[in-house]
Amino acid sequence: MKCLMFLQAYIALVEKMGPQWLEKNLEVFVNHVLELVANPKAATTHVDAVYSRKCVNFILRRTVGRLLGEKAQFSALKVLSSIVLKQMNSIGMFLFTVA
Amino acid sequence: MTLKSEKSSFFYFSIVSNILILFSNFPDFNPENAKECNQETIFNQHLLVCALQEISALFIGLGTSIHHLVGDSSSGLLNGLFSVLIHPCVATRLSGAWALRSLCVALPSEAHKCVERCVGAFDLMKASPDAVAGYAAALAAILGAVRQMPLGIPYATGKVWKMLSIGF
Repeated sequence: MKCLMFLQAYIALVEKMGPQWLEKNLEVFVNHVLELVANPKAATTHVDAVYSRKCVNFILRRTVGRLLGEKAQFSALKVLSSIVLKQMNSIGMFLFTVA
Repeated sequence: MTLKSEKSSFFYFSIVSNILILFSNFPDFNPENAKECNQETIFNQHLLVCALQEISALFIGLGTSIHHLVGDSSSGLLNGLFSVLIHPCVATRLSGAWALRSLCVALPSEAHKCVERCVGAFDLMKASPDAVAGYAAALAAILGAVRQMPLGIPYATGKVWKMLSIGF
């Protein structure tokens, strides 16, 4: 239930602020939403982890996937790929594959 | 399922529900290799899974127009997707494989390159079970997506696949 509440709040906020605001603050928003799911409190049990993942996926789909145009979706893709690269660098696995 | 009678369908249903009950009673939620990776990696796997799922959805939505993003080596998109395949957690590896599958469906010209890269990495990293599982998942995902690609894959690539699976 907690998941559903924050899901509704985030989506309502972004829809109210509009696509231009989202485009401007894309990196901050995506980083913030993804950090929510990495919080240890969001995944106390396996079921909680699955629900949190689903909620965050839904938030991203409703905001990035629906509100933004094609050009902004490209920048979203760049932001997401840089997040993935950063995470893999932090656990020291990225250089290993490229080499 | 359509060929079976209703009675055998019910029987099948009871078997599947028994399996579900059996597995849902396990108390631990940590991945099977929790000892090898630290706590941060375990929690960050959820972040990676969400990011990769969104990347997959964006790939499918944008279609062939992603070609300049994939071709641009400075963005590191392909390198990022391939590096996820050796992550210690299973969920992340599978999401990485799914993202590669979506990439190949959106941009069929990349399928052959991805397969070659996977096969090369497969040979190079035979020693690591995580890497073998990740690259095998990626190969299986791309192979499953071939039916959605209008051009398919070269005949020889299928043979390489088969030899690889026999080798293991």
